Amino acid sequence: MTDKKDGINQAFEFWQNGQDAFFNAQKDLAEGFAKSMAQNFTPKPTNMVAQGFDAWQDFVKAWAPGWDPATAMATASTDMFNKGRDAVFSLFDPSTWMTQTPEQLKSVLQSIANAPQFADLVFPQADMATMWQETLDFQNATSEFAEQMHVAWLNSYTEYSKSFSLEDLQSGKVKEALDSWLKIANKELLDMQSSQEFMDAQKKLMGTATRLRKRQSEAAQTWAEAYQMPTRVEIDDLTKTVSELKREVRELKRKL
Amino acid sequence: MTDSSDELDNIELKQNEFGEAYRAAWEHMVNEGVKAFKSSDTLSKISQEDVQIAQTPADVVFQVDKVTLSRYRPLVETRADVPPVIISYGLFGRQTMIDLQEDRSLVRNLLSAGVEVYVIDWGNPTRADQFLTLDDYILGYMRDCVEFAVAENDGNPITMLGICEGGTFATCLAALEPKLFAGLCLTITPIDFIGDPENFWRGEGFLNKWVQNMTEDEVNEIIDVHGNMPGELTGAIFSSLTPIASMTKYNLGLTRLAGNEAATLNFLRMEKWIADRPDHPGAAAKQWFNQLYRENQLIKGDFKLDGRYVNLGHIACPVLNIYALQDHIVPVSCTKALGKYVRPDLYEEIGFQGGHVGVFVSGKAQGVVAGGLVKWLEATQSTVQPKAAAKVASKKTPKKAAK
Repeated sequence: MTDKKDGINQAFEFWQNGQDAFFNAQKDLAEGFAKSMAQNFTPKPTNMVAQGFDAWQDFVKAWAPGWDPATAMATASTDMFNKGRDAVFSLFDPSTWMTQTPEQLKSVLQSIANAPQFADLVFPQADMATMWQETLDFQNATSEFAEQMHVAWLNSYTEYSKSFSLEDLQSGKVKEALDSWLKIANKELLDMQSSQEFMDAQKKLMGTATRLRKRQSEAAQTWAEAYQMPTRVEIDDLTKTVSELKREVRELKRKL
Repeated sequence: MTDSSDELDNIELKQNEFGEAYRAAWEHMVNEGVKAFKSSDTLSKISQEDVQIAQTPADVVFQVDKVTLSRYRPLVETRADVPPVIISYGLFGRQTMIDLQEDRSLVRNLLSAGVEVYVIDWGNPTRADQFLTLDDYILGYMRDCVEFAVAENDGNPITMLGICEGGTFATCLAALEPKLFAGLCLTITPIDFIGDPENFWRGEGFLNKWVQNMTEDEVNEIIDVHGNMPGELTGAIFSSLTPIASMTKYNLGLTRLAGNEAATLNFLRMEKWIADRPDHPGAAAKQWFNQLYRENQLIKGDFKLDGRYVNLGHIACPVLNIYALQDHIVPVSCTKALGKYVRPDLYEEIGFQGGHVGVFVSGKAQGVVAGGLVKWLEATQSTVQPKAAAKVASKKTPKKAAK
C-alpha cells in the first residue's frame, strides 16, 4: 500500500534539495564576486562605490543569509577573480555543475518552476529555475543546429571525394582542388539551408536564444526595480508615448 | 631476380611520385605563402583614414528627427534638363553604398551627367525609435523629404531612385502621392515577396523562405526582445546567404589579392559598408516581415499606410526597374512583378548581370546602371527631349497633375 504521506515527503525533499542547490550556487557566486570586488576596489572605495557596495552586500545577504562578508574579504586571494568569473559562467551554464545528469537537472528545474508558489519566497527560485531550464533548451537547440551543420559538411566531403581524388592533388592541381572543395561545400551548405530540417533547427535556436535573453532582461528589470531605478519597460513606455505624440504633431502640422 | 627488380622499380616509381607530389604541394604552399605575406604587408600599411567611403561633397538641406536630406554639390556646370533625383536606401543598410569610391559611384556618375542629386539618410535608429512604423518612414519622413525637394524645384515633381527596401518605400509613396513624382526608378526592389519559388535557383529566395517559415508571433518575439531588429542579426543572415564566400573572404580572399593595393582598398571599402549595418526600427520591421514578407500584402492590395490602401495601379509616372539577375537577396521574380501592376506604357526594366550589391559597386555596373538611368531620365522626363513614355501616356501625366 502506497503511503501518501511518504510520497509527499519525497516530493518535498526533492524540491528542498533543488532549492538548496540554488542557494549554494547563489552563495558561491556571491562570494566569488564579492571577493573579486574587494580585491579590485583597493585602496578604500569612494563614497559612491562604497554605497553601491553596501547595497550590493545587502542584496547578497538576502540571497544567502549565512554568508559573512568580513570572512569573505579576509580570505580574498589572487585567484578570486577567476573564481568569480567561473561562478558567473556556471550560473548561465548549469550543465557545468551537473554535467553527468542533464536530464535529472532538467527535471529538478522543472519541479521547482512548477512547484506550488504559495509564498513570495518561492518566486525568485522559480524564476531562476525557469531561466536555467531555458538555458538547457538553448543548449539542446544549439546541438540540433550543429548536427544539421555537421551533416552538411559530411555531405560536402562525400561529394568532394567523388569528384576530386588524391591523384589530382598529386598532379599539382592544388588550386583546382581547393576551388572544387569550396564550390561543393557552398552548394551543400545552400542546399542544407533550404531544407526544412535546417530552417526548423535554426528557428528553434533563435527561439530559445530569444526566450533566454528575454528572461535575462526580466532578471535585470527585477534588479532595477529593487534599487528604484527606471526599468527598460518604463523607458520603452515613455518612448512609445513620445513616438505617438510626434505622429500626432505631424498629422496636425499637415492639417494646418 | 625479376620479381625483386620489379619491386625495386615499383618502389622507385612510388618514391618519384611522392617526391613530385611533395614538390608540387611545397611549391604551392610557398606561392600561397608569398601571396599571404604580400597581402599582410599591404594591410599593415593601410590605416583607417585610407579606407573612406561616401566622399562626394554634399550639404544637409533638410532634417526631420534623425532623418536628413542632403544635396550633392554639382560636379559639372551644365545641368541636365531632367528633374532632380532623390536617392533612398532602405533601413537595413546605409546609403553610402551608392558612393563607395570615386570610380564606383552612382552619385558621381549622375552628377557628371548634370543631374541634381539628393540623398536621404535615415540616421542611426536606436531603441528610442523602436515604435516608428513604415507609415512614419514612408508617409512621414520620406514624404517630408520629397516635398522639400519639390518645393526647391519650383513646385515641380521630382524623380525617386529607390534601392532595395528604399525602393519599396518609394513605390508606396508614388502610389499614394503620385503628384510628387516625375519618375520612379527602382533597383533590386522587392514588390512580390513570395515570387516564383518553384523556379528559384540554388540559394535564391532563402530570405523569403526563412521568413515564411516563421509565424507572426515568432517574428515579433525576436524583435520585441531587442526592441529593434539588430543590425548584427540581419548582417549575419545576409552573410549566410553566401556561406563559403563569407567564410573565406578574410583568409583565402585576401590572400588571393596578393597584396594588390587598389584591390585591397576596394575590398576594405566594401567591408566598411557591410560592417556599418544599423538596427531596423522594431515596429517597422514587424510590418516589413509580417505584412510584406509573410502575407505579401503589397501585391494583394491589402497593404495600408496611415489607413490608406497602397494601390500600385495608381503609380502615374514613368517607372524604370533595374534588377540583378544573380540577386540572392531579392529574387528576380519578386522585383519584376511590378510590371504586372504598372501601366505597360510607363514601365521599363533593365536586367543586370550581377548580384544584389554588384548593381552599384561592380566596375561594369557603372555604365549599365548609371548610364541606363541617365538615358531613361532624358527619354522620359526631359522637357527638350522627346518623351518616350509620355508620348503614349494618358492625359494625366504627373507633371500636368502637379501643376
